[in-house]
Amino acid sequence: MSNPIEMIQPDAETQARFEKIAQGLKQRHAASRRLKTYGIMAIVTAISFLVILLTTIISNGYTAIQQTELQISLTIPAEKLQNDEGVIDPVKARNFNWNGLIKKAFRAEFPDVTAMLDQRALGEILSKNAGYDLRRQIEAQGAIPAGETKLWIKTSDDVDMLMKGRLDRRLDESQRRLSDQQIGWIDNLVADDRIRLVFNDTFFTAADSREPESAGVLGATVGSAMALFVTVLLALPLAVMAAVYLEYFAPPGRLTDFIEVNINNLAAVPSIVFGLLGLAVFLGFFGMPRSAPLVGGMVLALMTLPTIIIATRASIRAVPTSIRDAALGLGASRMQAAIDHILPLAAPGILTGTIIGIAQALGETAPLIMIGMVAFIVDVPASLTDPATALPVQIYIWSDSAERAFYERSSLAIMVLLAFLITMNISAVLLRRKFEKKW
Amino acid sequence: MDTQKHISSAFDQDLTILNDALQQLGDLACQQLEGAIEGLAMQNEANLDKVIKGDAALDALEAEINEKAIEVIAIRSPRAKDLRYVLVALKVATILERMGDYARNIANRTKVIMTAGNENIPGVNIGRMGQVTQEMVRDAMLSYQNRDAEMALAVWRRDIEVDHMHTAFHKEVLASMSRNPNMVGTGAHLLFIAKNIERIGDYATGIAEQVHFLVEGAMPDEDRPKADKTSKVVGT
Amino acid sequence: MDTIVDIAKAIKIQAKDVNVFYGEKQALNDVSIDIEDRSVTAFIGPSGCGKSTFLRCFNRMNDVIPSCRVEGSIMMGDVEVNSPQTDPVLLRARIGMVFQKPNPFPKTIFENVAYGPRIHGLAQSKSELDDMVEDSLKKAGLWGEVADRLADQATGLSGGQQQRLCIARAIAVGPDVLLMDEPCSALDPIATSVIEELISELQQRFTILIVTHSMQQAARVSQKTAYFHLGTLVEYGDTKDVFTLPKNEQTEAYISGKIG
Repeated sequence: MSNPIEMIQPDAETQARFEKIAQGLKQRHAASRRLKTYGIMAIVTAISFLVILLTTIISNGYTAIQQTELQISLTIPAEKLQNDEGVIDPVKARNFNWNGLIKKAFRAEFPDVTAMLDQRALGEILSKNAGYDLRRQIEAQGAIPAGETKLWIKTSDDVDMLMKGRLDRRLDESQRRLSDQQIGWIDNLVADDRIRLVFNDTFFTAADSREPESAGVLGATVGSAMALFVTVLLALPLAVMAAVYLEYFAPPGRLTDFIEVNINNLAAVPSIVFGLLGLAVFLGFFGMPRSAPLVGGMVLALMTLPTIIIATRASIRAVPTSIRDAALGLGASRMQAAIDHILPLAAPGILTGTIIGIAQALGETAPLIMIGMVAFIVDVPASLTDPATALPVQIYIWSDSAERAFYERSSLAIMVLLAFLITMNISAVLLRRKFEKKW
Repeated sequence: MDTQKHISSAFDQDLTILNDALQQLGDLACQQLEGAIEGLAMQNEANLDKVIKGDAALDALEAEINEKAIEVIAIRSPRAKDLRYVLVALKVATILERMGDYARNIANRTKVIMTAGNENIPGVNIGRMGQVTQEMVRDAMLSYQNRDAEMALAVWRRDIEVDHMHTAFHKEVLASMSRNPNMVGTGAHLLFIAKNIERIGDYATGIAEQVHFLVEGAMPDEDRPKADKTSKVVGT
Repeated sequence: MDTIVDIAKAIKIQAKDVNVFYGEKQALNDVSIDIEDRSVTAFIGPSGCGKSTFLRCFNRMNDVIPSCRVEGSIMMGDVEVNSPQTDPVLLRARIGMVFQKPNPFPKTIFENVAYGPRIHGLAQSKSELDDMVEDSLKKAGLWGEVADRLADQATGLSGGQQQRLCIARAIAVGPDVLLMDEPCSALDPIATSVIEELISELQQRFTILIVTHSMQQAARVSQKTAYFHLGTLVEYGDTKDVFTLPKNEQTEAYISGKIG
């Protein structure tokens, strides 16, 4: 380098101006930092509430994933159940006293328990539906095991709670659901390895029941699924057509403005109002069946309609006008431009809006209660008009119940519901991202 | 012409038109000069009249070239080589037209000399001068056509030859005029004719300079060799 | 030298006393112009002078803007463009448009060009449609570059290619007039030159109206030039004359870069 380059320095006036700016800079940076801190505090607060909520639910619900069983050796009298060909006779099977068989076999394992009261106390350790379960199991197998077999039978919900550590042993006996005597027998079973905790598949395969150990969310889940199916079937086409009308055909004027304002307002109406509407119109006026997913779906559809209409209109407007101009310039009619080009491009947005609307509808309880989906339904609904309940309503019913075991099951059901909601929202986000890349 | 085409074919077309017109003008100018020199040597009135009448065509063609060049500048916005090309075309057209004027002037003056009827014309040098000038003009136009800067420089350097011949002829005529007073009229015209031919030589170098500018982007570096000492000649 | 004889060309479109209003504001004042058949006519002028608005009158694209009102007559042959009886859909099959920013549909290259013929029912069979697409792409000078990838997404092409695709798409419908609204303003200089050369070729088949904010482009590409200023047509004439010897002082000022 031959000549070092001479750098020109700023003159006095410029220097003074820079000094002034530099002075104020400290405060400005401090203000930014403060704002950042407030933001972080707010987020931390929000997240901690979320964490508390989730921790509470999970800590209450995680044990419901297991169910206590105990092992009994019993001999099933085949001759009392089979007909002449050696096949199980359903009538005989139904009339047979399974519970009795089980209790007798159980008592046989505690030969020193002789008093009537004590024997009853022993029997209470087993689930009241044990016999029913055994019968279903044998019928499913189709064959009766010969001779003495070891079978695992569900215990009652109180024993279940004890095994999961949710029953406080230190309480006074009069305040406990299980007596010392019963706890002693259970401890014996534990020592003998004849009592265990297994995966609670009943929870996922059964509908509601009086006994917690026989209760599951399948009925409610199917009910919710059916209702949502009806919701999408009704809401999506109606909403898209309404949005297309408002965007393309509605003449600009007071009437159209009025309609638009009202649609936006409908999105903010409390959901219970829709329940009242459903009660009065669908059940009262049209006489549709109570507690049916069909009616539930129709009510939810009305509720979701404004959400999807608004999302559709926003998506349609988000399509660049250059596409519309290009189509029109070629001689396409407005309808052709809309159907061939704009709706396909708006589809991801419509889809996202629909998924979000459905996710909202999934968690709605009040309107469904109003139309009667709050009943005690023990069967999984088989058609849209069968009485059913929905998942959030099932949670509501269980959380109302006295049994401790139902409390933990309702927490697990909440986790299931949250899992569905999170999945739907994540898929909405992923879908939106995938389609946004296109243009 | 440049081997690479413009994306706009119309641009190429315009430049071709300009180029062809200039070639045509160059050919015409050479013809005029040839006709004038030959007419001077042969003293053929018919040929001389042809030259005099022929000048109008050069004027017309030069006007057309002007118009086309203006159009190209306004419409095509030529840059770099294209721009130099158009500017050079304008200048060369003007030069060629002036050459034509001088050729016509030579023809006119030759006719006057003929009426005077003087037999004694020292024609040797002027014939040679005319010859060299013609060659210079042809070579200059050739160097333009071929974009040959070297050839242009050769033309440029040759002007000194013409200058020498002009000085010599000038002295000769003055001598002739002082010896023979009858020759004064003819001599005066001869002096002008010789000057015209010398000027045509200068113009040829002017064309050569423009060719150099077109190709290299600058005028020739060296000082133009000049040897015209006629302004210093007083008499014998 | 030039052996071009000026042939008086037929008039393709005649506009008379066209006034355009956006609500209360007037955008064009009494514009009258005769557009020559199979020439390129350029509309030039400073921003906001109304040239794009005027261009859009020819294919009724101003209908899309609710507050816009167009008065006056625009006759193409025996069709009055500005009449409520004239169906814009039919009109736009005869007058095509290319826009400022290349706007291919987010579909395949083939689908883009085929859309026009398809909606107007111009092709009887798949092979006929294929031929039409190929023909349009050839006329737009794009066939060589895309012949082997017609199923690719149109959005994957470069800017210049996209604009040529839009031109192919417009001419596939078989219009006789092409409206171009600043077609090169979003393109680089080379792509611009390619499109200008394409316009020179297309001009033999189509009547082309081009709005451009580049005077040089108007000079290079057009035979007739119309200069607009604040909604008024100031001067209209042969491009050569407008750019070397304009009749109006305002035109002279704009051309020499003194106003604008």
